[in-house]
Amino acid sequence: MSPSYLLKIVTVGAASVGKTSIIIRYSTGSFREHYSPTLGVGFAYKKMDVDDDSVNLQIWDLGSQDFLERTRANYYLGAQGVVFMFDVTSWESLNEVIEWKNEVDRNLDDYRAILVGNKTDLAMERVVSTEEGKKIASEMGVDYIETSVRLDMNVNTAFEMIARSIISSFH
Amino acid sequence: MISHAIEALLITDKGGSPRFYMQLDPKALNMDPVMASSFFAAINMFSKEVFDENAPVVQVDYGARLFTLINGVKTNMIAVSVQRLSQDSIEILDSLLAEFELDWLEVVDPFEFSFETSFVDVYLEAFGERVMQKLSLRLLGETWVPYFTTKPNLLENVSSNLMDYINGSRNVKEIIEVSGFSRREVVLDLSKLWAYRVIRFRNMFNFNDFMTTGTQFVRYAQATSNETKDLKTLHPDMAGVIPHLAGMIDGRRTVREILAVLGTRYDESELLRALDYLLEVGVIEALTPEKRRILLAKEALELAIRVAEGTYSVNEATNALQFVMKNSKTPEALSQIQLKDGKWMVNFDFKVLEGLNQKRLMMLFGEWMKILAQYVNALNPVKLTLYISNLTTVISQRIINRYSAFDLRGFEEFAYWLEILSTPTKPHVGPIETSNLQITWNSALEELAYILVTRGHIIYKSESITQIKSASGTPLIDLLPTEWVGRDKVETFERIMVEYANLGPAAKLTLLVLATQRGILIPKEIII
Repeated sequence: MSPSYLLKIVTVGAASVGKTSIIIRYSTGSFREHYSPTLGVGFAYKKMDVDDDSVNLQIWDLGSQDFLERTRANYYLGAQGVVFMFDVTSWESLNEVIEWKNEVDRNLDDYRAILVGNKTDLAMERVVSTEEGKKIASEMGVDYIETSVRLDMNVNTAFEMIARSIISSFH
Repeated sequence: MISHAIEALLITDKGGSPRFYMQLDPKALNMDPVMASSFFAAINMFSKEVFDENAPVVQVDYGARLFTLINGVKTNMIAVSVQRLSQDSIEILDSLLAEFELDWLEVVDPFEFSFETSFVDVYLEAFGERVMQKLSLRLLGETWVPYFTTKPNLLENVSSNLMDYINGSRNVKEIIEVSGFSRREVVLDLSKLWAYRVIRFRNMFNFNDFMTTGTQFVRYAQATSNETKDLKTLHPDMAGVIPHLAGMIDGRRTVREILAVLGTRYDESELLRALDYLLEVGVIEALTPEKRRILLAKEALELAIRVAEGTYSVNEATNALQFVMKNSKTPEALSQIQLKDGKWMVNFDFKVLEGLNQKRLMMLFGEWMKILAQYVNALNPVKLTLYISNLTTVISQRIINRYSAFDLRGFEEFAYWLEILSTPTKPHVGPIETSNLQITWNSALEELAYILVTRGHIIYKSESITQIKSASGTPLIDLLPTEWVGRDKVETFERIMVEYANLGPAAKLTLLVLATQRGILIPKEIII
């Protein structure tokens, strides 16, 4: 059965919040803990079903370094969904989410988005509460979900949320 | 008996209790089997996919170590390694797990033993010997010197042909020569004695270890320090050797390279004894996996600067570096870039990283990669193709040929970045034709093809990848490799590699890095 929808999604957020790891986990099921900055852009895809719709999700992993901003700008084109990510053990990464939203708004007119708080498995190091995460998501007008890529918690659900949100905008 | 990368093996029952643990690398840090079993049991509670009957083998990359999880009928096996295991190794582990369940699990009930008896002891001697017969000690070096931890004449349950040849000073190579046994026989016997824990080893440096000094090392370079005085009393010869070693243990030389320089003046065993001693007193160390990655990134930056000085000019190379340094705020990196004799150099001393945790080390690897990428980006684009071509040659010879596959983790991102910089066309931003491309691969070659095709699409646009498909006569995207009926798959993959390398020098570098990481032999025409 050929997919009914081909959706382009980009992941953005501060360095080392787990953007590449969540994509690898979602598309291949494996977990990569070692950190390497994405220079340029990565790519992965996965077919999934959302209710009766078949969806081919193409996920673009955008490098987060400052000097990549011009390179990054190219890759926003045509994206229908944005996954904003932060690390629940880092206030800085949450604060940067607003700057990331500004950048996305400069490059995309119409898109659906979710906010993902990752690394919930690091409970002892956690500094951002669920309420804080929800509050920022609410200010951005997007849904919020917490994940642990390491423990594979809520990863599929997060991508299902963004896919469902985009599809609902078609109807 | 095969060569393998396994440091330790753990078998737990389905409830998460440890049933067998064995260390296969005498140099590896001891893992607490009870803690490790609890850890995997906890993960399994959160994610049923870890030990999923539909996915019998799962690999989890956990920072410095890789865990290979094999799902058995009554138990689970966890193999700890520093790099991805070969299919051969996995098949052997699978057979060992089956044998454990069939022959050992029911026969010996650990609960029959008293609490003083470790669960390990219940199985170790018998099943451990079986493990050693199939796997042997990991990378048993010819220079390692085995010695008894107990008096040989007190050993009752262990028989060995090597009893008369192990004397605490003969190394493995010498034992092979003196005993007349084959290397296989000696390794097997030593593995068995190790399994029974009646021998240990000295001289365990891997010749490919990069060595660095700690802050306390300076005490051994001071004639009046207490450390030097003690050493002169205990090992007077060693006290004379260490000052010569001092200049060689610089954070970027391997043991092999140190021996090559000093080997003409000193006996190799004398040098190794001195290194053993310094390691034992904790003033030198072999770089950990994360520090090796940092070293690799620093070496790449040093090469990038030197190649820029040759391709452009010292002035242009300096200007680009100063521009990048202005944007960096990381003291552990900035303090390591130093001006010497009018040229900027990278300092390879690792003392600045002492006491830093794994997370910080990972971030610092990222920072060095960022500096490296920005540096190339800051160079004049007019000569960039020539520069990248020169840099690819040097990196291939000095880094890819010198470091292990495990060290190269993440370095492919730099190669991708060079590809992006050297491709004048605007990037592909639309949907990518993926069709039947596999996401989970049956082989490293398939994984390589997947990465080249998807990343290649983004960097070079679809037309280039279509050309590769045409030139190699490969369905690639339209059909699964398993459906390439009538085609020689290896030959086809080789054609894909050759065609991809033809896209430019940066593409060739990407291919070299990805292939080395996966242990794939590349076609002769691509080798630099």
